[in-house]
Amino acid sequence: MVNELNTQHSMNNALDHELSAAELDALNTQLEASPEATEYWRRLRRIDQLLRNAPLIRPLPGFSDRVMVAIASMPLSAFANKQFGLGAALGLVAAAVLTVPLLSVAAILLVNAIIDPGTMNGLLQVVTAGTSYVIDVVSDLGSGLHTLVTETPMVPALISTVIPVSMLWVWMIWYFSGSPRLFTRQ
Amino acid sequence: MSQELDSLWVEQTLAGDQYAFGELVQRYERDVFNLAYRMLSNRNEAEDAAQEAFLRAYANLERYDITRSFKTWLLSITSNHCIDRLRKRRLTWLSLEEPLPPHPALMSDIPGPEEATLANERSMLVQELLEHLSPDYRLAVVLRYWYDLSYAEIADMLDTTESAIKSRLFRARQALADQLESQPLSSLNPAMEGS
Repeated sequence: MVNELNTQHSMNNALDHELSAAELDALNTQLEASPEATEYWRRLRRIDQLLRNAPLIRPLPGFSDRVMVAIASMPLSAFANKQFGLGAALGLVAAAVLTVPLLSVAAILLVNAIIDPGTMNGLLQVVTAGTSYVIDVVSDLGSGLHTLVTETPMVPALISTVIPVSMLWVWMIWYFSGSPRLFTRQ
Repeated sequence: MSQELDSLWVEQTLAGDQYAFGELVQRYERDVFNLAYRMLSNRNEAEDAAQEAFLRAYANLERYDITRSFKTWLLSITSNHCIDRLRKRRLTWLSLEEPLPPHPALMSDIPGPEEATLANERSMLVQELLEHLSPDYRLAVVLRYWYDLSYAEIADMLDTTESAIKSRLFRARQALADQLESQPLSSLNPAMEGS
């Protein structure tokens, strides 16, 4: 049994051209002594020849085109996906690294400002002055409009007509030029 | 030269040129398809598997080690995918008998109707014999005989040892020789005459 297995291993090596001349002679001697081994060797050689002569099978014509169409229809390039993933990760890390110290500095400054009475007083004065300036501007604008309406009543009527008509014209130009998108996706 | 050209096309693909990958597809479509067909024994499924292998190669091209053979890397992806398909097929217990392809030899380069018929018969017989092997054994046989890969290359591809591959091929040959005993010899003779 062991001898038989050794012979089979020798046959296997012979098919792979891995036997030395001496080993090949030994195999031939074993084959001559055993008709069963000879028959087995004949079948192994048949299998070997059959496999060696089997052709490479080709795909149907147009296979490579179909593959390229499939690749082109992939939702996003795999490389772009990976680069985006890496870029997004790096961006998040950078944002985290920068945000923490900035928020800390802002918090410290805010606390210092609230604690210091002089700073708070100055801040209140700035806010008060700013508010009164805005009120003055709005009041001047209101009185100016009032004067315009009372002295030349045609102006408001003209404005209220021109604005909708202009909007209508703009819309028509946009519509008849094929409704181009203002923002296009890349 | 071939390896250098492959590397060039890979680099161009990675730089965003899809046409460069098209060159790789054209060059290796036959190798990939043949491996899928020999493993799966069905032309339609083999085409799907081959296409999937190329898509996977494209999606994972950044992982390809440019110092190694692109063909071997591609065949490795194909073989893994085919093994997965065979496992799924086994799990779903599909017992539908797929008819053998009617004219595989017509897709080969062998000229003449008589030669094509003989080659067709031999090819069908080979496929029939291969189907009796387990996927691991079948893969070892296909890679060894159709792609002329060494034991070391096959072991590297399948992430195993040379001795394991040698053992698989030995057992596969034994199984095929046993199978051959039950086959009609008439279909073998034309292939054997020259041996």
